[in-house]
Amino acid sequence: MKETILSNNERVFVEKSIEEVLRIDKRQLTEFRNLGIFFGKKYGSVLVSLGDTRVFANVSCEVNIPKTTRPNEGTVFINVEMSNEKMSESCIVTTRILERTIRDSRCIDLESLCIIAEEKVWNLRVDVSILNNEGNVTDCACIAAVSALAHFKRPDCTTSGDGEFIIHKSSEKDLIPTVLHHYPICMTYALFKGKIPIADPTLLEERVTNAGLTLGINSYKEICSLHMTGVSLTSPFLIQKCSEMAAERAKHVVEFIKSTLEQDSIDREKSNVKGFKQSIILTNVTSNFCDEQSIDNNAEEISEVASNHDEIIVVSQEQKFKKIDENTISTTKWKDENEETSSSDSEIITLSQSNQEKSKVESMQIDSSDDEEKETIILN
Amino acid sequence: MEVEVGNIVLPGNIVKEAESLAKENKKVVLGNGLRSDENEKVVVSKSGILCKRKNIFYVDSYQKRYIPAKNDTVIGIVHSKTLDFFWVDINCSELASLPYLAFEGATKKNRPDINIGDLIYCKVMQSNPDLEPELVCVDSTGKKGNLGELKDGLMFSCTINLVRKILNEKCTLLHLLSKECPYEIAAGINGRIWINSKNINTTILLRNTILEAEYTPYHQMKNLVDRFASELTGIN
Repeated sequence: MKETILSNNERVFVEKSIEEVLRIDKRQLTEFRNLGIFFGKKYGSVLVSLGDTRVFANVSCEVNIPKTTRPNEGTVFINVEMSNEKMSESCIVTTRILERTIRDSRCIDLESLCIIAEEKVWNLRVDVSILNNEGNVTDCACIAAVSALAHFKRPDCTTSGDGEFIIHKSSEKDLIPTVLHHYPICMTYALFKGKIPIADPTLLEERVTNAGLTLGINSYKEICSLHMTGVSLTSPFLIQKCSEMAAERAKHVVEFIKSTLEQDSIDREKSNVKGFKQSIILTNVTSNFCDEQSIDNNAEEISEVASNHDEIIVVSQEQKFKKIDENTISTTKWKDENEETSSSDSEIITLSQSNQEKSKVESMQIDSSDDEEKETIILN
Repeated sequence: MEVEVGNIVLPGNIVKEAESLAKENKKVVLGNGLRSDENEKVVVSKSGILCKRKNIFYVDSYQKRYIPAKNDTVIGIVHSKTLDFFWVDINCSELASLPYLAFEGATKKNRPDINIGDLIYCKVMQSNPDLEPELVCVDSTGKKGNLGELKDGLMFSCTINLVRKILNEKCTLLHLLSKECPYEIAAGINGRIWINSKNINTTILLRNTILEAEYTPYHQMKNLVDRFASELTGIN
């Protein structure tokens, strides 16, 4: 989508309002927007919303050859995608900030990703897609990437002596979580007039001022990365002030990530995974010119019929299974009787034969499903 | 499936009422979201609510993309200037042209003083799928009326739906707000609203109240404005 030009009125208004310590969305200057983290049904997929900005992150893993300089360490690859352009400038900047914050701060225990030193290691791939940009994509993407990595679990594998190893399925051995030493979180401040920091800028605020400061901070108040754009800073006190504010915020964010992770694991134990559907806000139904609408009786009837129909199908399937089961039992009976009575009725024999065939097919199916479960991937 | 006025319609539905009116040799205008095929059947092409005003049928749908139509009043941002035209962004698929001479009292020598990035409240003069839309800042008598440059204030984007809603006769929001505080508003049907008031605080509050109106039914507008009034007294 092409970007609309920023009007002079908006620029002047935002600058004036910041001078009066006001923001268009009623926030304080150092206040962040509401953060929401929603884990998907799959391990390592997460949807993060920061105000109206939305980012989806997904972690996957593959077996790869390690770097020759670090033979006993796995690798992490981060890829950021924006839907509007293939490789825009902001996309590259965001990728680089995430790489510096997450990979270069060495928050992931890379040695635990090693399978066989110098030969095979796990390569974690973090795919971050920006779904909606309402400003401050970097923070949102960083939180998404970190929480996706914390949520991700890779399959277990066992090695035999002669360089072969088996990757086990989740049904055989429990998946292994990724080890994170610390959770680095990006905090973005937009700078107005080079001295007024605004936390978590919206798209409009980002466009009005080019100057920005992104700090990567973990919950132990350690700065992992620092990125500055636009007009360079004039006072060192400002960075100090911003980093102190960011450290406070980082603590809360990390706590929030951890608590959501715990809640997710509890839900998983109860096999009550909600998925992304909880991210949809149902109160925001757009009321149109029609204020209230009564549902047609027809619609209700249709839904009733539909639900009944579903039940019927389910019942009929169950009945089918039951019938087959009965048949298999009866075939064995028939067999016995046949052997004993040595085939008196021709009709009965044909029936029993057909039933026997059915039972054979069933047993075949059971065998094949067993095979699938036992199947393991063997890689050289 | 046949539908009637007031129903929720889906693309492919047939509007019998418009067809029968046309057969009686009465003039029928098909608005947004309706089209007639070769057999002179009126078919819905958008999902929404079928509405009728006098002899105009249209579908009121939720959308953010603006498709220019003649006589729409829109808010544009000046994108660039050429020898004879301003190129104006009006939130549609391409830039619209605004001739220098389409301002009140403008001549070849006396050009309007408008810069890149300024807001202009204007009318769509011509909209053809094969040409870029043409804008104008004067009415048929050559007077500017309410049109022209919008100075100061705050412009914000919203859904086209919301603009239609606040401009609807049934909607009392703007009237109720005017009782609480004086303000200026320009609503462009292209999904842009400009507001101005005596201070920044009030303007921000007005913006948030108008955006909130999208999710408020008509009969609850009074509560919305009451809340606005109480917040306004809290600030001043």
